[in-house]
Amino acid sequence: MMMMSDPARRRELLLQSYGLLQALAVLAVLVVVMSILSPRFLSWINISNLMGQMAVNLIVAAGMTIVMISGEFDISVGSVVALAAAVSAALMQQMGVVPAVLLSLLIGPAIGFFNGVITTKGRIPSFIVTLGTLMMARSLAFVVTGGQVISNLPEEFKAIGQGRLFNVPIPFLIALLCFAVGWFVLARTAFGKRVYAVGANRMVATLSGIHADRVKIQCMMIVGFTAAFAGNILLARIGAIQADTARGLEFEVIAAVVIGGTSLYGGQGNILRTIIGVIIIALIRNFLNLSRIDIFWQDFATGAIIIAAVLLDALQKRVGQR
Amino acid sequence: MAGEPLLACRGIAKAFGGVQALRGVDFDVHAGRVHALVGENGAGKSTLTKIIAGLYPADAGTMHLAGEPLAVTDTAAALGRGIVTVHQDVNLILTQTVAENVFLANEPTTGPFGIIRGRELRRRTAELLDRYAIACTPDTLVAELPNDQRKMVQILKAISREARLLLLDEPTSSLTETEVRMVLRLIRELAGQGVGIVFISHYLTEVFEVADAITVLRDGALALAGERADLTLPDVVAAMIGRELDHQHERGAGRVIGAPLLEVAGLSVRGGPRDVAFTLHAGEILGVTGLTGSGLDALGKAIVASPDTRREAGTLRLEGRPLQVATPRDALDAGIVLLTNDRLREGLLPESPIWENVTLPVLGRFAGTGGILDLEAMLAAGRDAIKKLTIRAPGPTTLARALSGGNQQKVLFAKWLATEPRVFIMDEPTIGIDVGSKAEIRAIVRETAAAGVGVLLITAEIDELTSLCDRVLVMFRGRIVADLTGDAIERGAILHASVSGARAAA
Repeated sequence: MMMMSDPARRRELLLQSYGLLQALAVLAVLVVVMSILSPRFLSWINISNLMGQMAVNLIVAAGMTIVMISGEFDISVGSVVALAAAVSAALMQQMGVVPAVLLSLLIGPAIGFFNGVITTKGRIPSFIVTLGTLMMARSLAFVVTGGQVISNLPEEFKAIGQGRLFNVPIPFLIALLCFAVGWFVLARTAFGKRVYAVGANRMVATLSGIHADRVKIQCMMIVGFTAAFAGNILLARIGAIQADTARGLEFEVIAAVVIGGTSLYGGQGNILRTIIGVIIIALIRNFLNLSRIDIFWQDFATGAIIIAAVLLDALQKRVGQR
Repeated sequence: MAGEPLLACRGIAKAFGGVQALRGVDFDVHAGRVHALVGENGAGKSTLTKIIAGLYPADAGTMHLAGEPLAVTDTAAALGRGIVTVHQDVNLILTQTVAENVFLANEPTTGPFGIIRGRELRRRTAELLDRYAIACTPDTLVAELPNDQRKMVQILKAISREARLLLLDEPTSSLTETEVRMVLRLIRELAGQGVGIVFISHYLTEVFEVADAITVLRDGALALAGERADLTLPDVVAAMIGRELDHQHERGAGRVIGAPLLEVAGLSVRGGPRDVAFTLHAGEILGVTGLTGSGLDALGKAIVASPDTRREAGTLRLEGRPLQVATPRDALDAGIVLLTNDRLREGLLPESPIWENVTLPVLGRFAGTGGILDLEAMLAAGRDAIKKLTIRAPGPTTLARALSGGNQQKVLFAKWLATEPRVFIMDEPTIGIDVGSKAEIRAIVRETAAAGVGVLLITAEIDELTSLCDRVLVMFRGRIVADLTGDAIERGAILHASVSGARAAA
């Protein structure tokens, strides 16, 4: 490709991959340390388990990266995961798998549309708007399940969540597919360029003829869709759902996106690096589990890593500007 | 003027890098008098006041305040000597009361915990308001005040610090005509109380109304100093522009002015243009100028319906047909583009490469089925822009932030020219760029018009108007006060209309 022949482009790619290499290096160090400290860590059973566990976070993180590049947040995703799973499970027993899944998938973009319209037209921070929908969607999940666990799902549906392909959990493969699509949309489509432009500078984007509000609403619909989709994957994997599922998922996902280097202020980010962010968080939880450290320390460790990652990023930017 | 001056500056010099901002200036201020300091942008007015206020050290010269040497090195020290600056922008806390603002960080307190004595705070504020006959109460929220009262509260805040010398930087630039009267009256009152006042203003009619003495700076040197009573407005304008010859005109060269293209009628914007009307022709370069506060900066944005301006009234016609522009997208679809005057905040995406910047308004052109972009074509467009506008950059993937100001500006020209505009509105197209790039940009402006595009050139640079424009409109406090064509487009006439609001006598 011509792009690669350009010396400036090569330098730029090198700089970009510098960030990527750095994230990979952190990951590699983690893996080495963990495999030394815990011999079970590198076993395929542990790793494939991990893959299955991360799938839900990965799928939501793909959407979250897009919405964060557009300069917004969505903290309602955990509730949307639960609501979509609950609706899907409840309908499945009455109308069959396909209609139930399709209907439950609609919930995500619908809530995203609501979030986006209130955020952009009402000029309210998306953090606050989605805090509202976080509570509303969670409440609806309780209404749908009646506070009970819904299980007893069709086998063919659970096969998607519990099956393996080449010994890799299917949910993990589906999550990777989501990232492939997300990467393509961001890097190769006009919509993707608009997302970056709106997040980098809304005024510049608007004056360039981009309907900034429309782009942000679309991004919030996308993250809503990924949450509803992840809800169905979760349902298929676990084979049961209760309204309390996926509480706090939003912050774990935002943390992963941030650790992956996406700017909190929008306009910058690489969706593929988000994968590394999700893996890093999952590995640390896994490590704490394996080494039998009190489970109550898990959030402490994750929190400390978020601060360290963001601090490192900020320091690097400051050095880079000198 | 008899008597010891309050402030005596002798031979003040200051250079920034290689640029000599002040070349040995003498400047006196007497207690109880208003001294106007005037000059074109870059004449050295603000450098001089910043040296007096202790923001910059002088390279040479001496200053004395009330006979004692003055060598303050920061604003706190200047405040300690009674030197207070009132800045052009109103920097008050809107959500607090007048009393809280006036005594901000200077509150009367009691006890070791700094508990504010509320009653005394209000009483002292009421005294000040009373003394200067300002019609608001200490408990009024600043947000509820009109502009002139905000300005006056800002000045009160300054004098509550027991100011002996008050430096007022463009105190009337954001006010309407009647509000100006109120603020000028307050300034006279303050002088009556014995405060020495330095009044910096572009508005010469106001200078003649309020000042006792006038000092004109040009290119960092004293061009004229005298008592107001001995001077006339044309004297001052002549001193501001000097004796230099008008630039050679290259106007109109090789261009044919075509049919009416864009007609603007009755355009009014809150805090900006008032009832502005003009017609731009194909192939024409129509200049619009005015001082800070004339509404100039909101004009271009109002036409393209930028989200940060609000049109109150006004209609647009393009080639005789009514045109609705509700969003910048509508403007773009009609072929009307705006180059904003702040390239870093409202023009470029600095962290994006050249090719992404120049293709942003025309992404649709590169998108195939499903919105998939032809990246090779986009890169080629970037390379094309670099070649056509001689942008000095290693390649199309260079980040915009890595370019010099002049080259960044060329990227923006490439971006807007790529949309094939019919009307190109340029707001300060050569702001903050070096002389060489300025010449190149001016050539691009000429070529653009020569290709039949209607160019609306909004600029405060008089050279640009005299060397490029076929016609020049001068705005003053939101209204068009002069419409100059042909030989009438010259420095004196433009400056005279800008500072006085009246058309120069021929």
